[in-house]
Amino acid sequence: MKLLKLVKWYLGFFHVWAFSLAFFFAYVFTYDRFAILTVSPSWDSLVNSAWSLQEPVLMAAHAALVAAVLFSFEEGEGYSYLRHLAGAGRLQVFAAKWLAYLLLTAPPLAAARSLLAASWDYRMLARPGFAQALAKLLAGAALQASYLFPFYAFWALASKRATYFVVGAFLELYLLESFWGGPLLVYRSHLMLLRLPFDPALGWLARDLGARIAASLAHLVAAAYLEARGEVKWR
Amino acid sequence: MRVELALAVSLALLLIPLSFIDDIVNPSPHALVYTSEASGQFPSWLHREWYELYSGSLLLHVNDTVTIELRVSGCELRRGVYEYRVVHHSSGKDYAARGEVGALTLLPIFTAELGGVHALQVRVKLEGEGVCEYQLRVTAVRGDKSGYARVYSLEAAAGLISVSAVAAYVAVRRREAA
Repeated sequence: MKLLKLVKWYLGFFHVWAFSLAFFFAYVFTYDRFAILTVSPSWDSLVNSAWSLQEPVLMAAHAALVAAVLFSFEEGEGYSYLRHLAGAGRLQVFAAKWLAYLLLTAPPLAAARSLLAASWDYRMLARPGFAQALAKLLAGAALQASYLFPFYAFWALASKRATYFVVGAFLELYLLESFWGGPLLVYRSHLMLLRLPFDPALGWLARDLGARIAASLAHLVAAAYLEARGEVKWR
Repeated sequence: MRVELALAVSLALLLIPLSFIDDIVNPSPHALVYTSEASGQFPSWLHREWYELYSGSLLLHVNDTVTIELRVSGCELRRGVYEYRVVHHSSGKDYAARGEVGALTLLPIFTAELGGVHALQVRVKLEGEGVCEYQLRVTAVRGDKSGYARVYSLEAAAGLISVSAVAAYVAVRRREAA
């Protein structure tokens, strides 16, 4: 229950939930309400067709901003007293931050997509399968968010200032337009991981993203080490 | 927390219809028209039987139109009949038309009266000599959206009123507190 108390506290940290609301509106704004599409008549298909070209970048930007708030400001602003009050260990704090981060980044995307699908055809709400499609969508968004989390957490912990981290994360997104195509492969991982609960193509995933997922796990270990060690010495 | 929730709901009431109005006023050019083409041959042994030329499902909105053009060539056509069927999935509404097939046939234009996923099917029955080649072109075009615009403007007005009500409440409470 210590963990849940921490998660609840992190959700209100610097009103970071307001980002989620703003990004929900941004997703809705980029989708096309009146698109004419080839869609098969199921919730899975409708929810997967509600997509826009800007969505992967928006989600990565949201993840970077949330990671900046959760990891860069805590020690500097003296908010770590909460950890002492709750009597939680540093790794428990790391887990709480990950849970809070998932709760902040995955629901806006799922809510925007399902809002669009429901406004396309509200009569479909009488059909079964909406809850399952929503759960799959949330799981997919959580997978993509979890893939990005270790990178952003490690960079936020290792960089000297929040500004450096945010500028670096946004530069990484800008590299999508360049020869390197974005080192984190935001587009490919977004398309594959969000679809993974709908059709589990694990072979493709291992071939196309295996190295990135391994890098993500390595970053997770490094970020957990930095978080467990406490204040970063070179700050 | 209750004030924040009220503000979020009224902001949603205001901003979601506004972004839908933006989709009406500034449509993205690649989403205005949908086309798909199919072509092939009828084997001679299939004559006199129903043969499915096209089946697919499209997401359409109110007033969007679907035009289907069928060209048949390379055979001597004595008689040909088509059956064109559109089913709106969630309501089960069924639209069907039958007619004669010529060298160039324009099937009746379908205008969607409900938004949602529509299943389209075209079948033909031909009598004649030789092997028929066919080309089929399906075009879905965005129709008039002024009805949607009216509904969404009303929703946005309701959202604006509720946002200002919440803001006025917050302002009054702050002045009392100060």
